[in-house]
Amino acid sequence: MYCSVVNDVGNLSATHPGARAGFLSEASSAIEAMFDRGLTDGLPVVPPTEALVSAMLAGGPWAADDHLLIETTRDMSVTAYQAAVCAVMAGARPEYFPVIGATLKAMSHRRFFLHGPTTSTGGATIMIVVSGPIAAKLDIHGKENLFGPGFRPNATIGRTIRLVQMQCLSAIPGALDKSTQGWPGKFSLCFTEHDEASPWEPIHQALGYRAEQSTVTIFAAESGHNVCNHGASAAEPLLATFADAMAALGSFSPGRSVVVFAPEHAAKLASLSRRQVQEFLFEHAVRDLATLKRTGKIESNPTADTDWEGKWKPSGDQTIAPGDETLMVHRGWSPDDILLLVGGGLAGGHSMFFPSWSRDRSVDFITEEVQV
Amino acid sequence: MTTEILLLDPRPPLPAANDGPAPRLETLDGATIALIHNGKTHGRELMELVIEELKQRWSIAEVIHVGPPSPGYGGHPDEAKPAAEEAMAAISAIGD
Repeated sequence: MYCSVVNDVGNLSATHPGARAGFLSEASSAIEAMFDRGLTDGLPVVPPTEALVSAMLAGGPWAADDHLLIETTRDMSVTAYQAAVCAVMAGARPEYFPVIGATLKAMSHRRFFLHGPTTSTGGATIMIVVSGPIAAKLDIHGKENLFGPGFRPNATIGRTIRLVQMQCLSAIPGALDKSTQGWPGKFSLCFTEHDEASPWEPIHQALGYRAEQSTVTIFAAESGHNVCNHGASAAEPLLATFADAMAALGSFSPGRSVVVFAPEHAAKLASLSRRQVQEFLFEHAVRDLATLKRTGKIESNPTADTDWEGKWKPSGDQTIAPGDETLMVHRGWSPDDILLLVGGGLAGGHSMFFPSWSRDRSVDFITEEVQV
Repeated sequence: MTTEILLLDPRPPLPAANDGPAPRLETLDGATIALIHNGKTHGRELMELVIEELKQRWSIAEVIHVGPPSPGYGGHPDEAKPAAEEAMAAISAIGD
């Protein structure tokens, strides 16, 4: 053991509501002390001292006992203090804290149903898309390797959210987090768009926010699928490749989608509006009902009235009926279920499609303004 | 000389001591039972099988089903009110 167990450190609990008291550790072994307490996501964490946590709190507009996250299923909440401790542990800088707080507020929305993607076998992560002036101000990365390592805000903002889920909501793998496999994006998935390479306005403006506002948009994401195409020079064959990836049986569902176009792909779509691309993908990301039945993708749902288009009943009956071979079933319910972004380096025809959590309808996209 | 530092713990306070399981009914004869499933495909089917078994042993008065139309729907507290007000016992299970 690397720590002295001191659960009653003065008035710590009263000073910092919502969390347990602290404990004393030898300074030279503080990282190991955090492991001993289970206060980790598997990687070493920055030891959260009072000075560091106070500085983190000062980076945002909230008091220590403000509730940033409300989880209604288990009637739990997370205070700014608890979130600040996790942010320090993750290695975040205080100026990132407004983005972290906005993300937690977005996760509180009832339409997001946080308990589902936090605990489900599907193994979702919380994708965080930062848009607006704060992305550049914090150096949030949207170019080469935007989903990979190398960028402190990308790595530590998402890591803070995972630590909050694990430590403050008790989503420990094998206990409350029942992810069958999970995926590396659960460590962190935070990025911004490559605005200079996009033919469209930044996503926060597309969602109705002003240019000078900053937002986070969150999405419960399963692991991304690389969409590789270096040969198509026109929009239609290129988009057909994306639609094919989105219609893959392995992730086919009535759920939502995020597509992050590489700049090389985005340039070939410059003649189309975002809406036109959404409509094309919705129209072409389809499977015939007979194939869905043969492959067990139509499950019984006695409480559902009809399918997501009102054409057939998801009874679980896998018998092929007349017309099933030509009845096309879409991924998602409408073009609005497809969020389109642009990100990545200028070179390369590698984009990414992220299917939503769950084999069913999934939870909604949620956008929250960042309070600076 | 050893230098000690105070480290903070973000986890919520430890829950109060468990008071133990809820009081058990002596019999299910005449009982209204709430069946709570998680909205996944086989959750409701599992609960149907359970209630079939129970009906062979007791004269169950009524069964109230509680569960979302899909696991991605969080529901609203009001939707569980009938079960909370009328059920004398509840059975919960997770299908997948």
